Amino acid sequence: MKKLTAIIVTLAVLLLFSCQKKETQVVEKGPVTVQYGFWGNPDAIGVEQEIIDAFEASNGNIKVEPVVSAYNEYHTKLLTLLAGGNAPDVMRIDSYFFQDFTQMSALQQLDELVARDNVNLKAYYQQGVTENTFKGKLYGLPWGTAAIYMLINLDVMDQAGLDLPSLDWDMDDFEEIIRAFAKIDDVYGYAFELNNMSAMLPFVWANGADLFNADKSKFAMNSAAAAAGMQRIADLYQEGLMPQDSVTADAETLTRWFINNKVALRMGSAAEILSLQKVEGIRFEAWPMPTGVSKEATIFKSNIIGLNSKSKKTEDAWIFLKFLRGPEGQGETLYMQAKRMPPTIDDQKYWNLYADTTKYPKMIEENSRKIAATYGHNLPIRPGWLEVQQLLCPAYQQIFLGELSAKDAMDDIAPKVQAVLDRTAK
Amino acid sequence: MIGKTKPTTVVFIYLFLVFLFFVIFVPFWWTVATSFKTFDEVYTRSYALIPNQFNLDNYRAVFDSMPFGMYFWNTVKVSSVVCLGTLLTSAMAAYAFSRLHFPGRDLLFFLYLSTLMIPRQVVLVPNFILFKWMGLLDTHWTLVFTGIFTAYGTFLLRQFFFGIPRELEEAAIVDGYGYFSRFVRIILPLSKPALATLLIITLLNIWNEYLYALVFINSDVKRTLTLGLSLLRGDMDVQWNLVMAATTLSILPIVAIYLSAQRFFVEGIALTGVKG
Amino acid sequence: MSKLPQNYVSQQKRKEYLAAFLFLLPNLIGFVLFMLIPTVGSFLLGFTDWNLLTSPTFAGLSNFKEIFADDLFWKTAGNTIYYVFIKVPLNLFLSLLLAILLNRKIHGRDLFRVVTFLPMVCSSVSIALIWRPLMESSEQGLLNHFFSWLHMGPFPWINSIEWAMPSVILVGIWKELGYFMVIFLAGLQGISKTYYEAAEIDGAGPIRVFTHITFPLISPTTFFVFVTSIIGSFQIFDLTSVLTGGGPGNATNSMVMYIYQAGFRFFRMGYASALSLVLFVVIFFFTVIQDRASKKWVHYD
Repeated sequence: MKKLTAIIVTLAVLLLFSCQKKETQVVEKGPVTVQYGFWGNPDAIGVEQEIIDAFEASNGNIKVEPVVSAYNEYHTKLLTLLAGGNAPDVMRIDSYFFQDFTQMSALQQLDELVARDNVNLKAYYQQGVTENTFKGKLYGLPWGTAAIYMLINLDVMDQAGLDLPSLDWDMDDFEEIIRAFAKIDDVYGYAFELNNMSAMLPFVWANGADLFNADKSKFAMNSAAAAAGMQRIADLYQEGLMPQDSVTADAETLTRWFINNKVALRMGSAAEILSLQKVEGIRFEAWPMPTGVSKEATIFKSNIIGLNSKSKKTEDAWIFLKFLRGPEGQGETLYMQAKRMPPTIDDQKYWNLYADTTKYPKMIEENSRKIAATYGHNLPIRPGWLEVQQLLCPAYQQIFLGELSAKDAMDDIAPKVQAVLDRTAK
Repeated sequence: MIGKTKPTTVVFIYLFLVFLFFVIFVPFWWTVATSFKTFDEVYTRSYALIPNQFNLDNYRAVFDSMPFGMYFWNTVKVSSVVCLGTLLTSAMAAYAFSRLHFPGRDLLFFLYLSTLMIPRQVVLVPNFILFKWMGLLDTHWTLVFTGIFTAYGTFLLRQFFFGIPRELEEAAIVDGYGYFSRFVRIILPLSKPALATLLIITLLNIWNEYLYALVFINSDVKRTLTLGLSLLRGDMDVQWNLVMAATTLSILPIVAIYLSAQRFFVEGIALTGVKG
Repeated sequence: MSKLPQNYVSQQKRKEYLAAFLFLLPNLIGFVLFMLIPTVGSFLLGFTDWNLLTSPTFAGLSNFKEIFADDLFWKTAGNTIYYVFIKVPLNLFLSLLLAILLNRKIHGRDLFRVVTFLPMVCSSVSIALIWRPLMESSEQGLLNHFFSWLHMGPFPWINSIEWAMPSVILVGIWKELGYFMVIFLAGLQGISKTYYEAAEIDGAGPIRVFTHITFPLISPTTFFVFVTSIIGSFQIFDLTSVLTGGGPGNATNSMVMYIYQAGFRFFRMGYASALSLVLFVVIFFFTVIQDRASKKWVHYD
């Protein structure tokens, strides 16, 4: 006991001393420090650091200080920092949060800066610019604009003697593939996760319906077409044609099934492609979602990098943002060299850096471009999005568990969702 | 402890313990086993309790991907101050709450308990604003202060102090001991099992502290181990084999300390033999 | 009575108050600053509308009115109470049983003690990673595999509205079994052998020894474990977030999960604070009941 006490006391004294020398922050006369908030793992942080280093090398008077955390808690941290007035000058925001953040005036409007410095917004995939826009004004530059693909495991397809579908494949083709696996034990055509409301939207879109009405002020998932789109998948699930655990599966579980050749098809983002690429010998493709009445049934999503509206260093922050995301900046090149996500800027030179035809998915460039041009659909994100999701996902689960029909489940939550929409409209 | 137990009972007890051993140990062992697997293996042989080979690549990768030693040292610093501070201040407060009488004692104690009843997710923002106002953001003090003063330690020790027979203290009063000497010479030595328990629980909590560290700590040089480890699953593409290697590394010290604290439990028996 | 002793008594009392004050002081200062003030702060926020970014506006009791009409609140409150009422008694019973077994001189005692402690040090992330594959609902899931030997199952585990909460409780007990065992052990260590020796001479059986010696003597510890495990279980958050995400169909959504979402996902910190004030009142109510009841079964000294 004495020994341990001695050790603890020594450590305590050490800490007291090391805490004492509080960094007396010398008022820097030289370089200005700009804080940059983002999420990431060591690989991703490495890329960001490379970009920061490159930026500092060419802009001697600006230093960039990263504010990093893991994705899951990133926005919680950001919100607390915003509440305390300590938020970073430049911040990455997931599009799910963007509309709410902007409505609460967390971000600075960029239209004037963009016009002044001739930033060519046409250079980006336009879906990305749309997701950076709130009430017609631009509040950020796009980061990580990419589809949520249908990932196709080629080995599993072979097992059922199936070929890749056409890019224009429709819901009937999709169902045919799923049914082809009915005869193979413990291998399924499709698996899904329901903890994100995006899970059902492609099928609703394919059926010509949408989550909200055109101006996003009214809930529309209880329309006959939307309900039918969802019910079709739920019926296949209830027939036992999809893994039973899909109802509560997370992305991790889906990846495990996909790698173990247990499922042929799943929805997956560019980040999930990164995980799959680390697996030796896996053969898979990234495809658009099945089409229907409407061809635009594949989610095309983009995140946002914007400037803190309370920043006192707007000019310097803007210089960094242009370097990071601007069509003239070097950020995109460095991102593409790291091959972590497909280009946000619509330019062949970036695809040349990113796409690798020796690696699966081999057709990602071709298919991504087609998705951007023909099949892509922005999520109808608006303020209150996450609250709507919290109402919708449990309802999805009830539908799949057979507690309620899609139509009844949606009718059930419609007034609650509408109340959220009305409250968050402002 | 009770003389002879029937052999059948002993067998039954062992069967029960061995069953529990497997139920409890296997999932834990799985963490360790995964830390040796390759990325593919995590998925393709997800159930396997013995990895294909015991290579240390994942551990090497963890050390390469982050300043593990620095994070570790930060955690050790914060944890030791919090443990010491908690033991000291809670023991003193618990003594007042259990052995001394003063007006409003039970009311004050309920106030202590009350702060345990509010989820920390909600106290986070007021705490942040408080620390900002005090100029303590991005220092380890935030973790030290929020770690030491939870009512938990005071409550735990108070309950144990209640169990110490009053006669021992009364005898000491006759010998002319003051409050402080009674506390140091009678109460504390008799509470070693309780203090060891509080130590291990406090250590566990502060070692794994995540939410507060996430929000209050910003600079890389101040990051704690949990915070550093969380970055390994910071994006959608997680290498679980690395996460498990890092997790194994981070829990080894706690297990080691728990093992050595075991001896204090035993010591406690010997000393408290005087009781009763 | 003469004047002198009375004076003496009050002087003694004053001395005791002063001692109590000094003993409390180091903890009290920190407690007031870092625990009480933020707690009071979050209470006050319960009477405001606050989106975390613009300054809070006073909202009177409107948050509370909304709470009582909020289906999700009632749903999560029901789930939380379900969790607490099933998990806490089971957990404490098993922990106490284990502590009593491991307090005996048996072979491999230290090994068992360490092993039961291990789940406590597992992070919640690894818990999800460990248990999700175990609890897969097909026959391939490891648990179902095991139960099929016993000609039971397959069980749907977290994939059914009825089974999800029991599954979460199972994992919760797995995680905290060792935690409370450690505390019970410390309590058991404090019991002098002489009691047991006396009991043995009287020829008391194990059950009698437990009810007449062990249980009364560790009752202060039991009270502590009861109160803190109820407080802790009411605040279940990590386990359900990583294991089920609150699903399926809100079957395992808990009050603190809802509070967290309301604050940091729906940007309604005022409402979240009001929700936590309601949670506070519920926990407080149960704690007071336990405190009252404890006078009957907890033997101090």
